[in-house]
Amino acid sequence: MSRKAVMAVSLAAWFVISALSNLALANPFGTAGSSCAHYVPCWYDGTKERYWYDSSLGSQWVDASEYARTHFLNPTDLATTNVAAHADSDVAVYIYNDPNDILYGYSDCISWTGVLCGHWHEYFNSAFLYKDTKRESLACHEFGHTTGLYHYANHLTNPSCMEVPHFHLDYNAHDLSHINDRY
Amino acid sequence: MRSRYRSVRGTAVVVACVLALGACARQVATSPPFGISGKELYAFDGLAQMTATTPVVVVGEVTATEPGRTIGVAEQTWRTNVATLEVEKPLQGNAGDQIGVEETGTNGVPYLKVGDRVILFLRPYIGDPPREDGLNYFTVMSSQGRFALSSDETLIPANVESEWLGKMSGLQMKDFLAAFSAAQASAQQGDVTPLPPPPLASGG
Repeated sequence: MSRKAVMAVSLAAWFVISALSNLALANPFGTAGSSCAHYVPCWYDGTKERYWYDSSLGSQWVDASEYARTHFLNPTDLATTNVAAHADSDVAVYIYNDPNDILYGYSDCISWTGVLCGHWHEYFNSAFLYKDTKRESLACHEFGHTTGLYHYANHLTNPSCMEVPHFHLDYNAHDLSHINDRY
Repeated sequence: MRSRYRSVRGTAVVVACVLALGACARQVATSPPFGISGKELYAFDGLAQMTATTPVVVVGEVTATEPGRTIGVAEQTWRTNVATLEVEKPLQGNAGDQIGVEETGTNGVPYLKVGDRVILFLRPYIGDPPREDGLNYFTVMSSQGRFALSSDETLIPANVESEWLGKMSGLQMKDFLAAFSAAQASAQQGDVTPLPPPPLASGG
């Protein structure tokens, strides 16, 4: 192989590696204020959400997630199911353990068009919450973000799992109305 | 033969460079993904409750920052920010003249940078400190517990989701200190109930 050919192949390899690396590190949300960006609710782009649980999740968090999915989301017009492979999912659920984080868990739209999100990642912080009901409430909360719901503060008269800082179970009538209108 | 040897050696050098550059490009991000939004451990209904719940409150200036540990999961991993602060005015608790603060960058709060003057509501860092430098390390209580101070001494809350924080935007430092003293007095008199600590998974 000539030196020129070697250089050409090497440069091509470099561009491929750079492109892949940048893809992995790219900020998925573009600039502030764009669709699906921070504090701008966006929602799942289909009518049937397929959930996948990372193998590290553990039975307590899988059970809480399944409880939230089947008891709180399935009664709405947004149908859900679970799948065995991440590649087949619309919502992938992970766990992490960080007592120094400020969060119990978070929701992250990985891929979107406008305000429609094609793939969500949900993360639960296993450093906290030892009660099943609190884990179920957190799953209800984070999964609620995938439907376009956002936070309430101290909405005690019409409780919802989207409220902070408390841990209510289930969505309130207002939330359900939004979900059913959308899906 | 010599030409062939040069060619092979050249190929090896170029491939090594490509691999090295590729490895550099795959370094973990030094700032969090922009869109993370989550349920915070603490969500305060006002300055009085935040003051009653928070062990350490300081006014300080950031004198150094460096990337900390890698956090996140799967494709979304990034480095925390470890900031050193010169404490200009301790408002509550015993922090020391110089402290360390680790930030995870979640819920849209940008990392502190050198020269930032801030008011921080802090809790002690749990576990081994991010650096072995003898400083006391803290984390911010919540995105509600961080205020930037502009050059004319006005407050800029990092989180303006809550109505009460929105009202504090643009407050003069002297007015904040008056409100903070009133909040401390309320807490001491038992007029406001501190939020309980987040329930640890261990049940502790």
